[in-house]
Amino acid sequence: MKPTDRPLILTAETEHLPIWVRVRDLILTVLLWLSCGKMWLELFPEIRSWNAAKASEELTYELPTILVLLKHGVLLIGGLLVTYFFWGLYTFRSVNRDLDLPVPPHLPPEEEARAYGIKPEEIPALRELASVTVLAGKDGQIVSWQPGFAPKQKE
Amino acid sequence: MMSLLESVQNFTFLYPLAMAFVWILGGILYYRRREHILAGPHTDPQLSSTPSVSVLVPCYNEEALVAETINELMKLQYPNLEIIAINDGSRDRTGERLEALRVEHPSLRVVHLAENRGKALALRTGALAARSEFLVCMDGDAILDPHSIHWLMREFLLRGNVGAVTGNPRIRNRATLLGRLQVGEFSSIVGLIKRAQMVYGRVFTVSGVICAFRKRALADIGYWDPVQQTEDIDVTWALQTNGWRIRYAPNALCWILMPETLGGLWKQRLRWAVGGAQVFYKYAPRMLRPAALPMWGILADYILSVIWALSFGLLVSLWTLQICTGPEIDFGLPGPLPTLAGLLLTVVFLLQSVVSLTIDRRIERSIMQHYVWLIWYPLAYWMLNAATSCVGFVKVTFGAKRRSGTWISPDRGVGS
Repeated sequence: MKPTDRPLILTAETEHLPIWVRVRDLILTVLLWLSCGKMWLELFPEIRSWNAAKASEELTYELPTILVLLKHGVLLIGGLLVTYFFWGLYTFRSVNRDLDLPVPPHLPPEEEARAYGIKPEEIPALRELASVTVLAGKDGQIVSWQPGFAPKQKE
Repeated sequence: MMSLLESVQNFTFLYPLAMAFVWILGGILYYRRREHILAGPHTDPQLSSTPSVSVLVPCYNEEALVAETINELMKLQYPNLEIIAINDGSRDRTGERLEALRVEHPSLRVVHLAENRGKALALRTGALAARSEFLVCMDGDAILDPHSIHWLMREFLLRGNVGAVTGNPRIRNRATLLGRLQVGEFSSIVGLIKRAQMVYGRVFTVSGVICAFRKRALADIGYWDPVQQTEDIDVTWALQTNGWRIRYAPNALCWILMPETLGGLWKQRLRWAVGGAQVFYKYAPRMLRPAALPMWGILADYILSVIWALSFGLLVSLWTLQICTGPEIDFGLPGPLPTLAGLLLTVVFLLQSVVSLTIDRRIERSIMQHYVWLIWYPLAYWMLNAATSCVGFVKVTFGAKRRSGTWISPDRGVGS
């Protein structure tokens, strides 16, 4: 059984993870940041060339691929964000209106008993028990119950 | 053919880009309007009353971790509390362990199911044994924050139409790269999406590991459906399509263990994907009911995310095919290495992560240190999530739409 006094946050130190695993993770992550950084830098020459072409009125120069894609997306994203923003304001208002709603009544035991296929008087008896063994059907209906723990026989 | 492929390619780029901006805007709006006015999560909010609450802890083969969970539950500060552990026909010594814990903690009640029936039926039976109108459901290997019940109850006491409140799961195991990556994921993806969905007014799912229910609402929907793989997604849709509202309590913290191996992660995400697809097939025909109309936004987002996963899968397959066949067949697609579009998506994802981690600093001051690991997310997790979404959706589409939810003993990190 696991000790119950483990710290809440389980770190590499508390879990005694080998040092080489920690170093490997760190190196791979640094490499990934560096390679992403290198590829991001590739964006700039493309945009620079496009700007230069535009400045010299070389109109045949094609837009950078990323700008072509964004050209189609900007309207869609802008429209989506504006719609979402106003819908969000409407939701905040309706949620504030919900503050005035009355608290619904508790579930009556008779209705609960019906849902589980047992008699209403069985419910208080079952709820008095500190330990109970229940045989439930696959549909959730209670077939039988008995006080205490009845361990399953090993097959 | 080429223009179709081009459209598919544009969609795989634009959908995550657009949604990232929606989530960023939603996260900021929720924080400004609702969250920043709250006190810190390690304090108790002022409640008008403290109605009785039953905490349900379903367990299956949890003998190794259940003592830790129950001992921590005994430290909860809510005054009117009942704790019920449900042993779902475990094959190990969970039953004996719970009985021993009951002697140690007389306030603990234990329900033993004679047969293993899955989490949904374990919760359903626990609800019958519960004396309270309000149920807090959690997992047998999780730890509830001492103030979490107060924060969950605050939402029920403020509004009469709230059927469920979902809490804020936090990752405990941060030993490996996968563990640390999930710390960032739960903040920058899960937390931010939940906040953004609250701004929309409906959520895709409550967190099964920490959520609270009003019994009246559960009875209205016939409790948890035992033939759904993910009972939490199903109950969320059932409640919202029956007129009940769901609230998010970011201060209701629950500390959880997550898989720290690729195999464990794959199994977990595939189960989530299968559950999502089952819920889609179950609820899509009911979407024309008036109470279900506001769910269209969530449904559309789900459908688009599945189409995105399938499109992404198609493109990766074509790239692979192109590499295998050589230059004779040209699909006119860029290479499999990240293109400028992919890099822009990464930049937007990192921006989204900055926003979400900044919001999350209210909960955990040191959360920013996990930013450095998030660079893996667009590379590894998008592929994993796309793959599980494709496999899960195809599995449900061509397989059983309803299959009993069974317990899978999960990977709970390197130390477990």
